[in-house]
Amino acid sequence: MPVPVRGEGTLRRADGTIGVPTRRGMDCREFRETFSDYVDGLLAEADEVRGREHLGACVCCRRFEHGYRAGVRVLQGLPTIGPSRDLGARILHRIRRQPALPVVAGSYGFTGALLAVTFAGFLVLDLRGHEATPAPDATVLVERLPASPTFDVDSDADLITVHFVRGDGDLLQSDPYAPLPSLDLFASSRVRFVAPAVWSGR
Amino acid sequence: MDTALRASNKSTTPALLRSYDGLDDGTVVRACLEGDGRAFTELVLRYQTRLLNFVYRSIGDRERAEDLVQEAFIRVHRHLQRFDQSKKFSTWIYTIASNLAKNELRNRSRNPLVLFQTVKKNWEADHRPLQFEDVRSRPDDLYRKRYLRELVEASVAQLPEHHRVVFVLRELEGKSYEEIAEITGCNLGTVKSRLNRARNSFAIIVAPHLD
Repeated sequence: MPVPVRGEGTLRRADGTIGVPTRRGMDCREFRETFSDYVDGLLAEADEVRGREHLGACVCCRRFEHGYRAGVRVLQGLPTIGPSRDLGARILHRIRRQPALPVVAGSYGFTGALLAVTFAGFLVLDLRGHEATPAPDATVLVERLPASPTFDVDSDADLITVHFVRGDGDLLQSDPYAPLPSLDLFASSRVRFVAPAVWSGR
Repeated sequence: MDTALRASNKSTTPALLRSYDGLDDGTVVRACLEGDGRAFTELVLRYQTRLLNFVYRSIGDRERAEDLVQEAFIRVHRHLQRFDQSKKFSTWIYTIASNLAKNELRNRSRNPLVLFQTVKKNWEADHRPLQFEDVRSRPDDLYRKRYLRELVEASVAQLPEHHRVVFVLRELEGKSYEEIAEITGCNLGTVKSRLNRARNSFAIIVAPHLD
């Protein structure tokens, strides 16, 4: 039995026994702290020797290590659980109900370019359509445009007042996204609202 | 188990799957991405048992484990284009399964249920049907083996969830520390620390019974 070193690195266990350090300095606490590395053989050579010597000297840690290895052997010997017969079929069935995987090999570039060109074409046509047909029944009047930006405390944007003159067709009524008219009693036949605009600097 | 499955599968569909025998996962995944449906079947065959055991050990419920494995494969199929082919496929699929198991445990802790398996275990102990004597093994040996198995399974189940996953990945799946770190989304230091704690806890529970 090794001669215990007094007072240094002793470990009082839950059952009242005290782990004693061996001559070479590894005590129970250090052994438990490095136990995982010891099991996996990741300790430096010198530390591994110290660990082995500690095991040779300390009955508690020897039981601990032996019990661990035996437990893992039992665990690894447990029968594996086989999947139920139809598990694979169920997985494949669910996958077949999903849309097919897009094919990636080489065709992405061409398909992407084709889509981009088509989209750009639609966009241009759409914009031109908007330019060609100005709203016939509404006139937009910019009442005041400041020469330089004015910054107030709350916002970086300056305000532009825009008047919409109501035409024959009620454009605002038919547009679900149109801003609600403000209750301005002095606007008479006009609808007035104030929209924030970002100053462009020009 | 995998071998048995493969063998039984070969007997029924020999031409379908033999072409992927011996090929690494990366090749099978590439074939899958190129639109070969048989390649995905091969991935299912390769991983269903391993994933099932991993998830079962993590959550302790076989039926639910099958559901989660199924869900894992659905996700693999859905996101296969996102898989970084410079990495290991096994690590990726285990990551998905591990996350599903983690979610399951989290949900379970919010809505605790008594598992039927837990009830069934007690029932089996008291109401075991009459069995003929097995002359090959002594009853006390059989009893001890069964006791040890149950003890070890219970010991694993007692580990905290984040320790248990690391422990199962290391001891049962044989994953490296780096793979475990990737699967669990932890750094290497955390993995080492958790594994050490898990091993210590396991030994403390098991060692007194295996002396």
